[in-house]
Amino acid sequence: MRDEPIVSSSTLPILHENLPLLEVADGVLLDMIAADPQARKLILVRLSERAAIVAPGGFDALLARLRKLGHTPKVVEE
Amino acid sequence: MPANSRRFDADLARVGAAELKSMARMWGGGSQTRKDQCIALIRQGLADPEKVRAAVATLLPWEANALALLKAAGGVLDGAALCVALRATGANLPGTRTAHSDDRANVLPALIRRGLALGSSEYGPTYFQSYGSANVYADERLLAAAGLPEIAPFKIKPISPPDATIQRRPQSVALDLIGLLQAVENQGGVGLTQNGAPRVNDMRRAAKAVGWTGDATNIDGLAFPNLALGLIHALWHGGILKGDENLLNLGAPVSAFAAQSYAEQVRQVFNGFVQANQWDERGSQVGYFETARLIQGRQALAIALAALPGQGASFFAVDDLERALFERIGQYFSLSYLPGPPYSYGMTAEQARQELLAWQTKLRQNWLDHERVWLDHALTTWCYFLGIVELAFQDKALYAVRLTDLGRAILHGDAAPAMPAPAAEARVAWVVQPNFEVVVYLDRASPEQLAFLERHAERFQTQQYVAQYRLTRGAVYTALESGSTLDRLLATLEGGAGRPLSQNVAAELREWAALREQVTLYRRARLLEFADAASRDAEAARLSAAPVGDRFLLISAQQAKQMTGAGVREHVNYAAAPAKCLTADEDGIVTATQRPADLLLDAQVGRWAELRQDGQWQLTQASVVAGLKAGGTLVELLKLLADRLIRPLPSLLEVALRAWAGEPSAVGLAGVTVLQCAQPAIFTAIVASPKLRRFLRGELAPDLVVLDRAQLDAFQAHLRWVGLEVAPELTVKQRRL
Repeated sequence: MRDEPIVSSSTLPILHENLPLLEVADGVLLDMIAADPQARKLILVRLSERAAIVAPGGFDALLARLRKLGHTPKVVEE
Repeated sequence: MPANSRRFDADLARVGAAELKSMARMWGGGSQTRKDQCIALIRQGLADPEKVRAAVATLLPWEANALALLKAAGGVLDGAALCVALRATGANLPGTRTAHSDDRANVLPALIRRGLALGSSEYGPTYFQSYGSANVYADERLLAAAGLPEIAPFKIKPISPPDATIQRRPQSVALDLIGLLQAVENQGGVGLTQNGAPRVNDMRRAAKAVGWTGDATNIDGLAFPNLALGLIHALWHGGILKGDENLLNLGAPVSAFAAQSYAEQVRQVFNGFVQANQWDERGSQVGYFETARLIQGRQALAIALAALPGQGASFFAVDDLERALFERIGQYFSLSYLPGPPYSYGMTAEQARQELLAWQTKLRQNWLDHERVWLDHALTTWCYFLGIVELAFQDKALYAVRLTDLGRAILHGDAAPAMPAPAAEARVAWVVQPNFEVVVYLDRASPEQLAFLERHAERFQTQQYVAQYRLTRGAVYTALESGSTLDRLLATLEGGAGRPLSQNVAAELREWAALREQVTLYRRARLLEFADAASRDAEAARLSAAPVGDRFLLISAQQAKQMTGAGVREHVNYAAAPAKCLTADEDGIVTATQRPADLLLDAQVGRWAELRQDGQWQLTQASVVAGLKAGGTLVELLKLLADRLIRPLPSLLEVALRAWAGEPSAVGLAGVTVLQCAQPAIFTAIVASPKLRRFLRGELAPDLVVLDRAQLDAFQAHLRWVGLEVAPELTVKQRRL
């Protein structure tokens, strides 16, 4: 039997599940989206240039707003 | 609504002994058979298909017709509608009509005693009321052995073919049906109200998507009132739309509906229209009593069309059709009030004959005033829209009708001549023009191809042989969002055109699809958070997961499932209630008692409060106003605090938050002189005294009155005069916290 490496629990990652997330292909796009006041209030945390956490309960409103702004977002339900 | 398959078994115990004995005769029972034995015999008989077939073969013609009509209606039918339909078939029914009874009293009990039907009333399976709607149903095993209704052809003669007629081609009908179903699918269904009715706004949205606006839609010059309402009800009753507690949605994908023959597609909707009792051809609101009568009328009309001689292939005068129908059902059916036949008791034969003639004349006039008008509406709305009938008009009035090939296929089934089959597989059926318009030749297109275009493009014109669509970014986006792919879109468009797409069209379609990849919204993303970029990068390759920012990996649901438990340090589920980890004091200091791993807390609190130090914030008027200006609402702030606070929000802080948010408050502060008196009799004597009234400004409490400070000395003099000692202190109470 092969010995499993001993991993300290503090080095293990944290799993965040069921998190509404917005991801764009280019950071400039996220800047443009965030420049819209109605979209901005629905974006809670910017994780990186290209990704942001959507405010809880704000997913559908952000989707509708993005479509209204002329974007055609791909929606991943699962 | 549809899919009414039922069995008698559960209801048999509630049937009376006399009826049970009669029902059991078909299965070998007799007058001496006990109730439990009758139930056992009926159950055994129904469970044996051979016995069922043999029993059904012994039925009288009208009994077999009743079973056939129930089968055509999906197993359940309004009792009165069944009786009217039986009359329309030309069958001889049992019993005689009197002033006090109608067909239901004769026909329905006979069907029950024969073991062919039971009632659906909550009062019992053999109970029928003489008003309103009451359904009867047949056991599905009996229905399996039932055939088609035997309909006696009307004795009317064809007329010369009219010069000009109108009819709808099956392809056009299918396009409209598929278009509406696609619109319903795109909008996620049609909501149902608490009463179970389709939501008007949702129906209007679907209608607008297919270009039906206004209260009446024009179909080839014929007004179709509330088309979307009628059609959605018909699709529901026809079993194509299924309802759950609060939503009406497609029972199967649009492509599955489109894959059926035109006759099968339309048959379901035709049967649905027959039972769509919440819609009236005349455009009026349907009242309580009309719901059952409309079903009766439509059942009769469907049978009347099937009763046209020669399978309705020739043209017949509508006048002849309605008169023939009147002769069969006129004494038994009315959309409004049906007067009973006259009493003849005590009359001479001549008097009775005169009374009867007067009654018949009145019936006929009522029929011409109401039922004939409704019949014209029915023929020119749903029957025409569905492509069942070909119509001719004279001076704008409907005067001739015949069944189309589609109508005969639906009303005469296998006995009808075969319809030209739609193209079974995809073939060259359209031209895709460089301006993104697609011209479709309806004769060539298969139903699947039509369904494909309804899903991927916007139809803007339909003529008899050609339909025109436009490929738009919005339509393509909607199709891709519903699971289609760019490859399929390109391949099907090219397949249907029989040649490669023009370069600009192909390039633009690719561009639209690529645009969709620019922005992605994950409703339920799974992220792995690492301590630093190095440890994240080390895992990224192993998990084949996409990096997000410096420390996160976007993983699949499957990967998340495998890691839950041993593979992660902590698991935060954002679908669950957020962690309660904050305290707040009256000064607005908000403190985290622990640092949860969730990624939301800092940002959520930071929207409303100023950060003082790690894990501590201060709610201030400025910070709250800033939160509101950024688009937040007081309700959201209070919900956040309710979700996250370990203990209730201090009341004073809530007052402050509401005031900072601009909620009006009424607090007054002023120095006043008051008189306090704990003895009610003395207090009342003072405040009610006309002499002292001028010194008083108003009562603050049951023992406290505010005085006019300028007249204080004079007031004290009066108190001394009545012998009252004035103490210099007030008695006050401290509120217990």
